[in-house]
Formats: sequence, structure tokens, C-alpha cells
Amino acid sequence: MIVLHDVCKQYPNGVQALSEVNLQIPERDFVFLVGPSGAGKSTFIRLLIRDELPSRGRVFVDGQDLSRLRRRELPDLRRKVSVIFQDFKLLPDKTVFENVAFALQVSAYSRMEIQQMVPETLDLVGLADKSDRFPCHLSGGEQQRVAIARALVRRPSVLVADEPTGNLDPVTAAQTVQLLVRINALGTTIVIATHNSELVNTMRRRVVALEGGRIVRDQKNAGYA
Amino acid sequence: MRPLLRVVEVGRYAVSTAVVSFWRHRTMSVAAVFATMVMMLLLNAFVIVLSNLNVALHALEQKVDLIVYLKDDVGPAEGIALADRLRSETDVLQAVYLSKDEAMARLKAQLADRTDLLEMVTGNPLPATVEVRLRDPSRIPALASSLRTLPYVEEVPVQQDVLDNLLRISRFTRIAGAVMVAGLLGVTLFVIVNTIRLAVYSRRQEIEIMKLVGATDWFIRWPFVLEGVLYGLIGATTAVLLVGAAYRPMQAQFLSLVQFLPVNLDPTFPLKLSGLTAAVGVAIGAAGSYISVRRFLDV
Repeated sequence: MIVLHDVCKQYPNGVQALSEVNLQIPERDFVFLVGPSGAGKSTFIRLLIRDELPSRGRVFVDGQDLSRLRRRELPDLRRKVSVIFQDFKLLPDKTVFENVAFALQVSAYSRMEIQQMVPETLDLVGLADKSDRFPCHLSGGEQQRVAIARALVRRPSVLVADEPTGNLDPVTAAQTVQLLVRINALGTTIVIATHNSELVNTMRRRVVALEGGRIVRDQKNAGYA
Repeated sequence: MRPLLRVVEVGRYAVSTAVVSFWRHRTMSVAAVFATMVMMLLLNAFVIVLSNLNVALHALEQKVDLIVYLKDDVGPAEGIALADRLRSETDVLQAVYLSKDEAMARLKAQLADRTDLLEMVTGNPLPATVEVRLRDPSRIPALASSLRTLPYVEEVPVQQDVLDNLLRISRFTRIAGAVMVAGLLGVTLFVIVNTIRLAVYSRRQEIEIMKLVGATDWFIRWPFVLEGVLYGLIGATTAVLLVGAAYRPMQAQFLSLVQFLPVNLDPTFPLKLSGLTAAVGVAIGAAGSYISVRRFLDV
């Protein structure tokens, strides 16, 4: 369960990214975070992975107040809340397998576990046959699926995505979101920040709309506008 | 996951990542190794000069004797007893009783070629003495004043200004040496930090991703620290080999040039210096990496 209580975020340069945001996202929910550029979507995502701290208010993930999280507790949160980005953030000198295995290595999984878990996850995202390729030999959609596999391989309880389809063509974007729907069906809470209206309209899921840093709409089975 | 297994996996990951990265960024590695080597050579040169200076000063310090003149009516028993008592003190390196007759005999031996001078001496005007040599010459004034209180002691002269000057010079040399070595270590650390920082900078994206997928700070740091250890170890070992090859011939050359100056002939000195160089190289490499990677961890 994710809870945002009266959250405000003002950056040191004076930009007010979020104002008085109150929101609850129950487990296994699938939420689209929509709004124009500068609405506060990315800040929202960064608060969830505690890449940023709120200037006021509280953010809770599974009952844990992220403002009170100590530095050494941060890795545990990042293992619970996985993140994928528009620019994929893959390591160019590592293969698909190594990029995904990397997420397990940092948690010190054994080689045996890595050999078992990585192929399973690559199979789930449909990249089992490309595990030896380097990111530069993959299409944008495939690279995003590697990023999803890396985020997924440790079975996080929450998967947050910042514009995951921003660099993808419409068909690949739809396939990527379908993949996230399947992952959601397996029990993972999904939060997607996007301004891809077509996708949101097709999926008819919970939509939280941000404008000027405020929530202007929170609606189930909704469309973009 | 079991803690031991975790340690083994992290260790395996850190070692393999450090070695691979050392090889993959070999231009940077060579630069860091070279910088360490040059600094370690400088450090070696400093330590060699300072240790020899120290030996010379120490030898000079121990040349300062304290002479206790005994009263003429004092028999040898008191003098011998005083020498024995002084020898039993930890500060005292040597204490020798010299009777009036022995003092005269020594004077005669010293003036063997100036018999004309000896003829002017009638009887034996020389007092019996106890000659004391201390480990630490700064203790001379204190010992002299306590000896002066003894009833059978005539006089304990102390050349205060000579002693003060010698002690001041040796203290200054030691402090200046320590400051210079500390300064050199600081400069070495600075050079290493900046060399490694370039290597870390080129891998900041990897560090960012590691943080985002939940790596702990130490998990990220270990490979860099080990890489720094590798730079330090290779740089220091190269410096040790170069110094090892040059040390004996240079020492022989020096000894033949300046025979009157005492030098450090301790046979274990080169080994100690090698150990010190390796330890300092490794420590500086590790510390340099630790410092370099720190600012990139705030992701």
C-alpha cells in the first residue's frame, strides 16, 4: 500500500512541483499518472523511490515513512519498489542477461539463483532468445523489456515507471503496457507516469491526473481526459 | 540470504569487477599506478634521507657525555658504587669510574708527543671522575643537578648552550621530517584521488543504476576500493623494486664519498622500508578510491 499524505515538493530553485497531494494506492492496483509536462509526474515517481524527499507531508510504502528512512535502509526500499525509465538506463557494456543479473548481484544472490531467475524473467518479457545480445543490438521496445525484466527479476511489490513508452512506437508501446498488465495480474502494484493518451484510453484503468502539481482527478476505469 | 554466502558473493563480485575494470580502463590504471609509483619513490627518498639524518643526529647526541668530578678525599669505593648505581638506571647507556691515577695515565697517553707540557705538571691535579653517557641527552641537566647534591661530588659541569643547540637542531629536524612526510602523503592522496575520480566519473551511470536497483553503498564501493588497492599495490611494488635495485649501490657510493658521517646500516632497514611502502601504497590507493567514489554515491 502506497500512501501520500499532504505532500508538497518545492525544489531549491523555487519550483513548486507538487502541492497538497493526498493519495492511496492499494496493493495490486494499476494506476496511470497523467498530466502535461511539468505537472509533477516525475517528481511523484521520484518520491516513491525516495530519490527525492517531500518538502512537507509524508510518503508511506507498506507502512514505512520514507522521510524517516535511514540511508542504509534505502537499498531495501529500492528492492521493494522497482523503477523503469523512459531512457531504459541499461549498461551498454553488459549483455541482456548481465543487465538483468546485475539487479540480483547487487543483492548478493548466488550464481545458481541468478542462473535460474534471469532466464525465467527474460522468458516472461519475451527475450529468452536474446540474452547474449548487447543493448545496442536491440530495438527500443526490446531495450525497454530488458529494463522491465531487470526491475522485475527480484519480484518487487511495486513497479513504478516514468514514461516507459515515451521512446517507443505505438505498437511496441501497447505491447509494453500489456506486459505490465500481465505483471500486475501476478500481484505487483503498478504505477505508470505517462502522457500517452491513446494508451490510457485503451486500458481503462485507474487514472490520477496531475496539473500544476495538484491532483485534479482520481477516477477508476477512466480515460486520459 | 545467509550472511556467509552473501559475503562470499559480494567478495567474488568485487574482486572480479575490480580486475575487469582495471583491465578495461587500462590507460587510466597505468596513469594511477604511475602516479602512485612516483609518489612512493619520493616517499622512499624522503624516508631514506630522514632515517640517515636521524642516525647521524642520534650518534651525535650520544657523544655528549656528562662528567661527574669527585672530591679529592673520596676513595674509589664511592666512585665505583656511583658508577654501578648509575648503570642500573634505564636512561644510562654507560657509566665508567676513572680514578685519579687512571685519569693521569689517560692524559699522559693523550699528550705522549708533548712531553714538555707534561713536565709542567707536578703531582696529580686531576680529579677522579665518573663518565656518564645517556640514551636521551635532554635528561642531562636533570641528572646533573641531582648528582650535584651528593656529598662526595665536587662538580658536574654542563655545557648548557651546546646541549640546547644540539637538542634544538635534532628536534627541529625530526618535526620538519614528520611534517614533510605528512605533506607528501597528503599530496599523494590528492593525486590518487583525482586520478581515480576520472575513472569513477566515467562509470557514474553504472553507479546511478546500481543505486536505483538497490545496491548498498559498500556494494558499490568495494570494487572501486579494491581497484585502488590494486593501483597502490602495483605502484608501491614497482617503487620497492626500483629502490631495492638502487639502494645498495647508492649507499656504497655515499659511504665511499663521506666516510665520517654515520649512515643507517641496519640490515633490516630496506625490508622495513619495503613493507612501509607497500602498506602506505595500499592504504592510499584504498583511501583515494573511497574518497573519489563518495560524491558519486548521492544518487
